[in-house]
Amino acid sequence: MSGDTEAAAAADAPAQTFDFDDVFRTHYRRIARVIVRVIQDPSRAEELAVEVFWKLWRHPRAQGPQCSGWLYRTAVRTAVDELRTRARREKYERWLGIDRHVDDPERSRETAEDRTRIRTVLAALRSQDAQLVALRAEGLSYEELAQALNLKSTSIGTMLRRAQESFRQEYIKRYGDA
Amino acid sequence: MATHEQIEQWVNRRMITADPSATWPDLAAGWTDLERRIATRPRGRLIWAACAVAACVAMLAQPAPRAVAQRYWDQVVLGRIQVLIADYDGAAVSVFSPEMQHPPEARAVPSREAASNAAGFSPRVPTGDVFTAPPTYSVTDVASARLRLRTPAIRYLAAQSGASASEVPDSWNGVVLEVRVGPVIIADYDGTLLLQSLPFQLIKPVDFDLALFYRLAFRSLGMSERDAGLLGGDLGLSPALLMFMPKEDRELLHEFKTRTGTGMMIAEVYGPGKTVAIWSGRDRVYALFGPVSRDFVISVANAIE
Repeated sequence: MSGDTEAAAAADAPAQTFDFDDVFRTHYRRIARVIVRVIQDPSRAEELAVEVFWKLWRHPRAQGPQCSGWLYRTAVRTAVDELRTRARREKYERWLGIDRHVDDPERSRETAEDRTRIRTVLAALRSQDAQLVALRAEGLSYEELAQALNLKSTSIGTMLRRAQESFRQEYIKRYGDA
Repeated sequence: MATHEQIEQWVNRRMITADPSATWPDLAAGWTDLERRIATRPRGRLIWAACAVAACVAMLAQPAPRAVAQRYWDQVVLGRIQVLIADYDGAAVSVFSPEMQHPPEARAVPSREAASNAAGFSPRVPTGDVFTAPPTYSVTDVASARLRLRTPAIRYLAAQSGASASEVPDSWNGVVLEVRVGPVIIADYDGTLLLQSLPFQLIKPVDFDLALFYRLAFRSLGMSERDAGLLGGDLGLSPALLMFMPKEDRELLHEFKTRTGTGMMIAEVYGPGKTVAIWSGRDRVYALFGPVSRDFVISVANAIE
Protein backbone atom coordinates (compact mmCIF):
# COMPACT_ATOMS: atom_id res chain seq x y z
CA MET A 1 0.00 0.00 0.00
CA SER A 2 1.41 3.39 -0.94
CA GLY A 3 1.70 6.32 1.45
CA ASP A 4 -1.26 7.96 -0.20
CA THR A 5 -3.35 4.83 0.20
CA GLU A 6 -2.49 4.53 3.87
CA ALA A 7 -3.40 8.14 4.44
CA ALA A 8 -6.66 7.57 2.62
CA ALA A 9 -7.47 4.52 4.73
CA ALA A 10 -6.63 6.39 7.93
CA ALA A 11 -8.91 9.23 6.93
CA ASP A 12 -11.77 6.78 6.46
CA ALA A 13 -11.45 5.16 9.85
CA PRO A 14 -13.19 7.45 12.39
CA ALA A 15 -15.95 9.09 10.33
CA GLN A 16 -18.24 9.87 13.25
CA THR A 17 -18.43 13.40 11.92
CA PHE A 18 -17.62 14.00 8.29
CA ASP A 19 -14.80 16.47 7.78
CA PHE A 20 -15.16 17.50 4.16
CA ASP A 21 -12.00 19.66 4.14
CA ASP A 22 -9.93 16.80 5.49
CA VAL A 23 -11.32 14.34 2.95
CA PHE A 24 -10.52 16.81 0.17
CA ARG A 25 -6.93 17.30 1.39
CA THR A 26 -6.44 13.56 1.73
CA HIS A 27 -7.90 12.38 -1.56
CA TYR A 28 -7.85 15.23 -4.07
CA ARG A 29 -4.40 14.55 -5.55
CA ARG A 30 -4.99 10.87 -6.00
CA ILE A 31 -8.43 11.38 -7.48
CA ALA A 32 -6.98 13.83 -10.00
CA ARG A 33 -4.21 11.33 -10.86
CA VAL A 34 -6.73 8.56 -11.48
CA ILE A 35 -8.60 10.83 -13.86
CA VAL A 36 -5.52 12.03 -15.71
CA ARG A 37 -4.43 8.46 -16.35
CA VAL A 38 -7.67 7.93 -18.27
CA ILE A 39 -8.16 11.20 -20.09
CA GLN A 40 -4.47 12.18 -20.43
CA ASP A 41 -5.26 15.85 -20.07
CA PRO A 42 -4.00 17.40 -16.81
CA SER A 43 -5.96 20.64 -16.90
CA ARG A 44 -9.24 18.88 -17.66
CA ALA A 45 -8.39 16.26 -15.03
CA GLU A 46 -8.14 19.01 -12.40
CA GLU A 47 -11.58 20.29 -13.38
CA LEU A 48 -13.10 16.83 -13.24
CA ALA A 49 -11.47 16.05 -9.88
CA VAL A 50 -13.08 19.17 -8.45
CA GLU A 51 -16.34 18.05 -10.05
CA VAL A 52 -16.08 14.72 -8.20
CA PHE A 53 -15.73 16.49 -4.86
CA TRP A 54 -18.58 18.81 -5.76
CA LYS A 55 -20.74 15.72 -6.29
CA LEU A 56 -19.62 14.38 -2.92
CA TRP A 57 -20.59 17.68 -1.30
CA ARG A 58 -24.05 17.40 -2.83
CA HIS A 59 -24.58 13.74 -1.85
CA PRO A 60 -24.72 13.47 1.94
CA ARG A 61 -25.33 9.72 1.69
CA ALA A 62 -21.87 9.27 0.19
CA GLN A 63 -20.27 11.17 3.06
CA GLY A 64 -19.24 8.40 5.41
CA PRO A 65 -16.57 5.87 6.22
CA GLN A 66 -16.71 4.37 2.73
CA CYS A 67 -16.28 7.69 0.97
CA SER A 68 -12.90 6.82 -0.56
CA GLY A 69 -14.49 3.95 -2.50
CA TRP A 70 -17.26 6.29 -3.63
CA LEU A 71 -14.67 8.88 -4.70
CA TYR A 72 -12.59 6.45 -6.76
CA ARG A 73 -15.68 4.93 -8.33
CA THR A 74 -17.08 8.34 -9.24
CA ALA A 75 -13.70 9.58 -10.45
CA VAL A 76 -12.97 6.70 -12.77
CA ARG A 77 -16.53 6.64 -14.13
CA THR A 78 -16.42 10.38 -14.69
CA ALA A 79 -13.12 9.97 -16.52
CA VAL A 80 -14.34 7.11 -18.73
CA ASP A 81 -17.57 9.03 -19.45
CA GLU A 82 -15.44 12.03 -20.41
CA LEU A 83 -13.47 9.89 -22.84
CA ARG A 84 -16.62 8.62 -24.48
CA THR A 85 -18.22 12.05 -24.55
CA ARG A 86 -15.09 13.45 -26.18
CA ALA A 87 -15.11 10.72 -28.77
CA ARG A 88 -18.77 11.47 -29.57
CA ARG A 89 -18.19 15.21 -29.62
CA GLU A 90 -15.17 14.91 -31.90
CA LYS A 91 -17.17 12.75 -34.29
CA TYR A 92 -20.01 15.26 -34.22
CA GLU A 93 -17.66 18.19 -34.77
CA ARG A 94 -15.93 16.41 -37.61
CA TRP A 95 -19.32 15.91 -39.20
CA LEU A 96 -20.13 19.59 -38.85
CA GLY A 97 -16.69 20.53 -40.16
CA ILE A 98 -15.53 22.12 -36.91
CA ASP A 99 -11.80 21.69 -36.37
CA ARG A 100 -10.88 22.18 -32.73
CA HIS A 101 -7.30 20.96 -33.02
CA VAL A 102 -5.04 23.07 -30.84
CA ASP A 103 -1.26 22.81 -30.90
CA ASP A 104 0.31 22.21 -27.53
CA PRO A 105 3.87 23.55 -27.52
CA GLU A 106 4.55 22.19 -24.02
CA ARG A 107 4.35 18.60 -25.06
CA SER A 108 6.43 16.77 -27.55
CA ARG A 109 4.69 15.27 -30.51
CA GLU A 110 5.66 11.83 -29.29
CA THR A 111 4.09 12.33 -25.85
CA ALA A 112 0.94 13.74 -27.37
CA GLU A 113 0.76 10.69 -29.63
CA ASP A 114 1.23 8.33 -26.68
CA ARG A 115 -1.55 10.06 -24.82
CA THR A 116 -3.87 9.83 -27.78
CA ARG A 117 -3.14 6.12 -28.00
CA ILE A 118 -4.03 5.53 -24.34
CA ARG A 119 -7.23 7.53 -24.68
CA THR A 120 -8.20 5.66 -27.82
CA VAL A 121 -7.53 2.23 -26.35
CA LEU A 122 -9.33 2.98 -23.05
CA ALA A 123 -12.32 4.39 -24.93
CA ALA A 124 -12.52 1.18 -26.96
CA LEU A 125 -12.64 -1.08 -23.87
CA ARG A 126 -15.70 -2.03 -21.88
CA SER A 127 -16.30 0.70 -19.33
CA GLN A 128 -15.54 -1.56 -16.37
CA ASP A 129 -12.33 -2.84 -17.94
CA ALA A 130 -11.14 0.72 -18.54
CA GLN A 131 -11.94 1.60 -14.93
CA LEU A 132 -10.03 -1.43 -13.62
CA VAL A 133 -6.96 -0.70 -15.74
CA ALA A 134 -6.86 2.98 -14.73
CA LEU A 135 -7.35 2.39 -11.00
CA ARG A 136 -4.80 -0.43 -10.92
CA ALA A 137 -2.27 1.78 -12.73
CA GLU A 138 -2.75 4.31 -9.94
CA GLY A 139 -1.71 1.62 -7.47
CA LEU A 140 -5.00 0.54 -5.90
CA SER A 141 -4.87 -2.85 -4.19
CA TYR A 142 -7.30 -5.66 -5.08
CA GLU A 143 -9.31 -4.82 -1.97
CA GLU A 144 -9.48 -1.13 -2.87
CA LEU A 145 -10.48 -2.00 -6.43
CA ALA A 146 -13.30 -4.20 -5.15
CA GLN A 147 -14.54 -1.47 -2.83
CA ALA A 148 -14.28 1.26 -5.44
CA LEU A 149 -16.10 -0.63 -8.17
CA ASN A 150 -18.56 -2.56 -5.97
CA LEU A 151 -17.14 -5.90 -7.11
CA LYS A 152 -16.52 -9.14 -5.22
CA SER A 153 -12.98 -9.15 -3.87
CA THR A 154 -12.68 -12.87 -4.70
CA SER A 155 -13.15 -12.24 -8.41
CA ILE A 156 -11.10 -9.05 -8.74
CA GLY A 157 -7.93 -10.89 -9.79
CA THR A 158 -9.64 -12.61 -12.69
CA MET A 159 -11.49 -9.49 -13.80
CA LEU A 160 -8.36 -7.36 -13.62
CA ARG A 161 -6.35 -9.91 -15.60
CA ARG A 162 -9.01 -9.93 -18.33
CA ALA A 163 -9.20 -6.14 -18.36
CA GLN A 164 -5.45 -5.72 -18.67
CA GLU A 165 -5.28 -8.41 -21.35
CA SER A 166 -8.05 -6.61 -23.25
CA PHE A 167 -6.08 -3.36 -23.00
CA ARG A 168 -2.93 -5.07 -24.28
CA GLN A 169 -4.70 -6.78 -27.18
CA GLU A 170 -6.52 -3.59 -28.19
CA TYR A 171 -3.29 -1.61 -28.02
CA ILE A 172 -1.29 -4.11 -30.05
CA LYS A 173 -4.08 -4.42 -32.60
CA ARG A 174 -3.99 -0.68 -33.19
CA TYR A 175 -0.34 0.29 -32.64
CA GLY A 176 1.77 -2.85 -32.46
CA ASP A 177 3.90 -4.02 -29.56
CA ALA A 178 6.40 -1.14 -29.60
CA MET B 1 2.59 -17.03 -23.01
CA ALA B 2 2.96 -13.94 -20.84
CA THR B 3 2.18 -14.19 -17.13
CA HIS B 4 -0.26 -11.85 -15.44
CA GLU B 5 2.64 -9.98 -13.84
CA GLN B 6 4.24 -9.43 -17.24
CA ILE B 7 0.98 -8.22 -18.75
CA GLU B 8 0.41 -5.90 -15.80
CA GLN B 9 3.89 -4.43 -16.17
CA TRP B 10 3.35 -4.01 -19.90
CA VAL B 11 0.04 -2.18 -19.35
CA ASN B 12 1.34 0.02 -16.55
CA ARG B 13 4.40 1.03 -18.60
CA ARG B 14 2.07 2.46 -21.20
CA MET B 15 -0.30 4.01 -18.69
CA ILE B 16 2.62 5.84 -17.08
CA THR B 17 2.72 8.33 -19.98
CA ALA B 18 0.41 10.58 -18.08
CA ASP B 19 2.30 10.32 -14.79
CA PRO B 20 2.29 13.87 -13.45
CA SER B 21 4.75 15.37 -11.01
CA ALA B 22 4.47 14.56 -7.31
CA THR B 23 3.13 18.03 -6.48
CA TRP B 24 0.41 17.96 -9.15
CA PRO B 25 -2.34 19.07 -8.87
CA ASP B 26 -2.19 22.21 -6.74
CA LEU B 27 -4.27 21.48 -3.65
CA ALA B 28 -5.02 25.11 -2.83
CA ALA B 29 -6.11 25.89 -6.39
CA GLY B 30 -8.38 22.83 -6.37
CA TRP B 31 -9.97 23.89 -3.09
CA THR B 32 -10.54 27.43 -4.39
CA ASP B 33 -12.14 26.03 -7.54
CA LEU B 34 -14.39 23.77 -5.47
CA GLU B 35 -15.51 26.62 -3.23
CA ARG B 36 -16.28 28.73 -6.29
CA ARG B 37 -18.28 25.92 -7.81
CA ILE B 38 -20.25 25.31 -4.63
CA ALA B 39 -20.98 29.01 -4.37
CA THR B 40 -21.95 29.66 -7.98
CA ARG B 41 -23.29 26.56 -9.64
CA PRO B 42 -26.49 26.23 -7.61
CA ARG B 43 -27.36 29.75 -8.68
CA GLY B 44 -27.62 28.46 -12.21
CA ARG B 45 -30.10 25.90 -10.99
CA LEU B 46 -32.05 28.57 -9.18
CA ILE B 47 -32.41 30.51 -12.38
CA TRP B 48 -33.29 27.30 -14.17
CA ALA B 49 -36.17 26.65 -11.83
CA ALA B 50 -37.21 30.28 -11.73
CA CYS B 51 -37.52 30.19 -15.49
CA ALA B 52 -39.56 27.05 -15.26
CA VAL B 53 -42.21 28.69 -13.15
CA ALA B 54 -42.26 32.03 -14.90
CA ALA B 55 -45.21 33.10 -17.05
CA CYS B 56 -45.51 35.08 -20.21
CA VAL B 57 -48.05 37.90 -19.99
CA ALA B 58 -46.16 40.33 -22.18
CA MET B 59 -47.91 39.35 -25.39
CA LEU B 60 -51.30 39.36 -23.72
CA ALA B 61 -50.62 42.82 -22.31
CA GLN B 62 -49.74 44.25 -25.72
CA PRO B 63 -52.71 43.69 -28.04
CA ALA B 64 -51.33 45.55 -31.07
CA PRO B 65 -48.05 43.66 -31.46
CA ARG B 66 -49.91 40.49 -30.69
CA ALA B 67 -52.32 41.02 -33.57
CA VAL B 68 -49.42 41.54 -35.95
CA ALA B 69 -47.48 38.66 -34.53
CA GLN B 70 -50.38 36.25 -34.90
CA ARG B 71 -50.10 36.43 -38.67
CA TYR B 72 -46.82 34.58 -38.45
CA TRP B 73 -46.51 33.15 -34.99
CA ASP B 74 -48.42 30.79 -32.74
CA GLN B 75 -48.46 31.31 -29.03
CA VAL B 76 -48.71 28.03 -27.22
CA VAL B 77 -49.39 27.84 -23.52
CA LEU B 78 -46.94 25.54 -21.84
CA GLY B 79 -48.98 24.21 -18.96
CA ARG B 80 -46.39 21.89 -17.49
CA ILE B 81 -42.78 20.94 -17.41
CA GLN B 82 -41.46 17.74 -18.93
CA VAL B 83 -38.29 16.64 -17.22
CA LEU B 84 -35.93 14.44 -19.20
CA ILE B 85 -33.01 12.67 -17.63
CA ALA B 86 -30.21 12.95 -20.15
CA ASP B 87 -26.51 12.96 -20.79
CA TYR B 88 -26.06 16.55 -19.73
CA ASP B 89 -22.92 17.08 -21.80
CA GLY B 90 -24.31 15.37 -24.85
CA ALA B 91 -24.72 17.04 -28.19
CA ALA B 92 -28.46 16.32 -28.22
CA VAL B 93 -29.08 18.34 -25.08
CA SER B 94 -27.25 21.36 -26.48
CA VAL B 95 -29.14 21.11 -29.76
CA PHE B 96 -32.55 21.06 -28.02
CA SER B 97 -31.96 23.35 -25.02
CA PRO B 98 -33.16 26.95 -25.23
CA GLU B 99 -30.69 29.60 -24.16
CA MET B 100 -31.67 32.24 -21.63
CA GLN B 101 -31.36 35.70 -23.14
CA HIS B 102 -30.91 37.27 -19.72
CA PRO B 103 -31.64 35.89 -16.26
CA PRO B 104 -34.70 37.32 -14.53
CA GLU B 105 -33.87 39.73 -11.73
CA ALA B 106 -36.15 40.26 -8.76
CA ARG B 107 -37.04 43.73 -7.41
CA ALA B 108 -38.60 44.20 -3.99
CA VAL B 109 -42.13 45.59 -3.73
CA PRO B 110 -43.74 46.87 -0.52
CA SER B 111 -46.94 44.83 -0.46
CA ARG B 112 -49.03 42.08 -1.98
CA GLU B 113 -51.06 44.68 -3.88
CA ALA B 114 -47.88 46.19 -5.31
CA ALA B 115 -46.78 42.72 -6.40
CA SER B 116 -50.14 42.23 -8.15
CA ASN B 117 -49.81 45.57 -9.93
CA ALA B 118 -46.24 44.86 -11.02
CA ALA B 119 -46.87 41.32 -12.24
CA GLY B 120 -50.33 41.72 -13.69
CA PHE B 121 -51.90 38.95 -11.61
CA SER B 122 -52.69 38.41 -7.92
CA PRO B 123 -50.47 36.11 -5.91
CA ARG B 124 -52.11 33.20 -4.15
CA VAL B 125 -50.61 32.48 -0.76
CA PRO B 126 -51.27 29.64 1.69
CA THR B 127 -54.20 30.04 4.02
CA GLY B 128 -54.08 29.04 7.69
CA ASP B 129 -50.90 28.75 9.69
CA VAL B 130 -48.63 26.96 7.23
CA PHE B 131 -46.16 29.81 7.61
CA THR B 132 -45.87 31.63 10.92
CA ALA B 133 -45.26 35.14 9.57
CA PRO B 134 -46.43 37.08 6.50
CA PRO B 135 -44.02 37.18 3.56
CA THR B 136 -42.13 40.00 1.90
CA TYR B 137 -42.66 40.27 -1.86
CA SER B 138 -40.57 40.78 -4.95
CA VAL B 139 -41.31 40.51 -8.68
CA THR B 140 -39.15 39.52 -11.63
CA ASP B 141 -39.27 41.08 -15.08
CA VAL B 142 -40.17 39.21 -18.22
CA ALA B 143 -37.33 37.20 -19.70
CA SER B 144 -37.07 34.81 -22.60
CA ALA B 145 -35.21 31.69 -23.60
CA ARG B 146 -34.58 31.03 -27.28
CA LEU B 147 -33.67 27.99 -29.29
CA ARG B 148 -32.44 28.46 -32.85
CA LEU B 149 -32.90 25.25 -34.80
CA ARG B 150 -30.07 23.92 -36.92
CA THR B 151 -31.36 21.40 -39.43
CA PRO B 152 -27.98 19.71 -40.16
CA ALA B 153 -27.38 19.08 -36.48
CA ILE B 154 -30.90 17.74 -35.89
CA ARG B 155 -30.64 15.52 -38.97
CA TYR B 156 -27.33 14.16 -37.76
CA LEU B 157 -28.73 13.39 -34.31
CA ALA B 158 -31.86 11.85 -35.80
CA ALA B 159 -29.78 9.57 -38.02
CA GLN B 160 -27.51 8.64 -35.12
CA SER B 161 -30.51 7.56 -33.08
CA GLY B 162 -31.99 5.45 -35.87
CA ALA B 163 -34.67 7.91 -37.00
CA SER B 164 -34.89 9.12 -40.57
CA ALA B 165 -32.93 12.33 -41.21
CA SER B 166 -35.29 13.18 -44.06
CA GLU B 167 -38.09 13.70 -41.55
CA VAL B 168 -36.49 16.99 -40.48
CA PRO B 169 -38.06 19.67 -42.70
CA ASP B 170 -35.75 22.08 -44.55
CA SER B 171 -37.96 24.91 -43.35
CA TRP B 172 -36.80 24.34 -39.76
CA ASN B 173 -33.31 25.63 -40.39
CA GLY B 174 -32.84 28.93 -38.58
CA VAL B 175 -36.29 28.87 -36.98
CA VAL B 176 -36.28 30.38 -33.50
CA LEU B 177 -38.51 28.91 -30.80
CA GLU B 178 -38.93 31.29 -27.91
CA VAL B 179 -40.19 30.61 -24.41
CA ARG B 180 -41.42 33.81 -22.79
CA VAL B 181 -41.00 33.79 -19.04
CA GLY B 182 -42.06 36.12 -16.28
CA PRO B 183 -43.12 38.08 -14.41
CA VAL B 184 -42.76 35.89 -11.36
CA ILE B 185 -44.03 36.90 -7.92
CA ILE B 186 -41.75 35.75 -5.12
CA ALA B 187 -43.10 35.54 -1.57
CA ASP B 188 -40.19 35.29 0.87
CA TYR B 189 -41.07 33.55 4.15
CA ASP B 190 -37.86 34.16 6.06
CA GLY B 191 -35.70 32.45 3.47
CA THR B 192 -38.22 29.93 2.18
CA LEU B 193 -39.34 31.24 -1.20
CA LEU B 194 -42.73 30.64 -2.81
CA LEU B 195 -42.63 31.57 -6.52
CA GLN B 196 -45.64 31.71 -8.78
CA SER B 197 -46.54 32.76 -12.29
CA LEU B 198 -49.14 32.33 -14.95
CA PRO B 199 -48.28 29.50 -17.39
CA PHE B 200 -45.37 30.33 -19.67
CA GLN B 201 -45.71 30.51 -23.44
CA LEU B 202 -43.92 29.15 -26.44
CA ILE B 203 -43.72 31.37 -29.52
CA LYS B 204 -43.31 29.35 -32.71
CA PRO B 205 -43.99 29.67 -36.46
CA VAL B 206 -47.65 29.08 -37.19
CA ASP B 207 -47.08 25.94 -39.24
CA PHE B 208 -44.40 24.46 -37.01
CA ASP B 209 -45.02 20.79 -36.20
CA LEU B 210 -44.51 20.60 -32.44
CA ALA B 211 -45.29 16.88 -32.22
CA LEU B 212 -42.57 16.12 -34.77
CA PHE B 213 -40.14 18.40 -32.95
CA TYR B 214 -40.74 16.66 -29.63
CA ARG B 215 -40.53 13.21 -31.21
CA LEU B 216 -37.19 13.94 -32.89
CA ALA B 217 -35.85 15.49 -29.68
CA PHE B 218 -36.81 12.40 -27.68
CA ARG B 219 -35.36 10.05 -30.29
CA SER B 220 -32.11 12.01 -30.29
CA LEU B 221 -31.98 11.70 -26.52
CA GLY B 222 -32.15 7.93 -26.78
CA MET B 223 -35.87 7.19 -26.43
CA SER B 224 -37.35 4.34 -28.50
CA GLU B 225 -39.36 5.19 -31.64
CA ARG B 226 -42.57 3.99 -29.99
CA ASP B 227 -42.10 5.94 -26.76
CA ALA B 228 -40.90 9.04 -28.59
CA GLY B 229 -43.94 8.89 -30.88
CA LEU B 230 -46.38 8.51 -27.98
CA LEU B 231 -44.83 11.23 -25.85
CA GLY B 232 -44.28 13.52 -28.84
CA GLY B 233 -47.93 13.19 -29.85
CA ASP B 234 -49.03 13.85 -26.30
CA LEU B 235 -46.87 16.95 -26.01
CA GLY B 236 -47.96 18.13 -29.46
CA LEU B 237 -51.49 18.34 -28.05
CA SER B 238 -50.53 19.56 -24.60
CA PRO B 239 -47.14 21.26 -24.92
CA ALA B 240 -44.65 21.34 -22.11
CA LEU B 241 -41.36 23.03 -21.52
CA LEU B 242 -38.54 20.51 -21.88
CA MET B 243 -36.08 20.58 -19.00
CA PHE B 244 -33.01 18.39 -18.95
CA MET B 245 -31.53 16.94 -15.81
CA PRO B 246 -28.12 15.29 -15.77
CA LYS B 247 -28.14 11.54 -15.26
CA GLU B 248 -26.15 11.95 -12.07
CA ASP B 249 -29.08 13.85 -10.53
CA ARG B 250 -31.67 11.17 -11.25
CA GLU B 251 -31.89 10.09 -7.62
CA LEU B 252 -32.56 13.66 -6.50
CA LEU B 253 -35.83 13.88 -8.44
CA HIS B 254 -39.09 12.79 -6.76
CA GLU B 255 -42.77 13.14 -7.58
CA PHE B 256 -45.45 14.19 -5.11
CA LYS B 257 -49.22 14.55 -5.28
CA THR B 258 -51.32 17.56 -4.31
CA ARG B 259 -55.10 17.97 -4.32
CA THR B 260 -54.93 19.41 -7.83
CA GLY B 261 -52.29 17.29 -9.49
CA THR B 262 -48.72 16.10 -9.46
CA GLY B 263 -45.52 17.98 -8.74
CA MET B 264 -41.86 17.21 -8.58
CA MET B 265 -39.18 17.86 -6.03
CA ILE B 266 -35.45 18.12 -6.64
CA ALA B 267 -33.42 17.61 -3.48
CA GLU B 268 -30.10 19.24 -2.56
CA VAL B 269 -30.46 21.89 -5.23
CA TYR B 270 -28.44 24.58 -3.56
CA GLY B 271 -27.01 22.92 -0.49
CA PRO B 272 -27.56 19.94 1.79
CA GLY B 273 -31.19 19.65 2.85
CA LYS B 274 -32.38 22.41 0.53
CA THR B 275 -35.01 21.53 -2.00
CA VAL B 276 -36.98 22.96 -4.87
CA ALA B 277 -40.52 21.75 -5.50
CA ILE B 278 -42.45 22.63 -8.67
CA TRP B 279 -46.13 22.00 -9.29
CA SER B 280 -49.02 23.31 -11.36
CA GLY B 281 -52.32 24.59 -10.09
CA ARG B 282 -55.35 26.26 -11.61
CA ASP B 283 -53.85 28.60 -14.34
CA ARG B 284 -50.74 28.96 -12.22
CA VAL B 285 -47.32 27.34 -11.84
CA TYR B 286 -45.64 27.31 -8.42
CA ALA B 287 -42.22 26.62 -6.99
CA LEU B 288 -41.04 26.43 -3.41
CA PHE B 289 -37.37 26.79 -2.51
CA GLY B 290 -35.87 26.12 0.88
CA PRO B 291 -35.06 23.54 3.54
CA VAL B 292 -38.51 21.99 3.16
CA SER B 293 -39.80 18.44 3.50
CA ARG B 294 -42.09 16.65 1.09
CA ASP B 295 -45.00 16.84 3.58
CA PHE B 296 -44.47 20.57 4.03
CA VAL B 297 -44.51 21.14 0.27
CA ILE B 298 -47.78 19.23 -0.01
CA SER B 299 -49.30 21.21 2.87
CA VAL B 300 -48.31 24.49 1.18
CA ALA B 301 -49.72 23.35 -2.17
CA ASN B 302 -52.99 22.24 -0.63
CA ALA B 303 -53.30 25.46 1.41
CA ILE B 304 -53.03 27.57 -1.75
CA GLU B 305 -55.57 25.80 -3.96
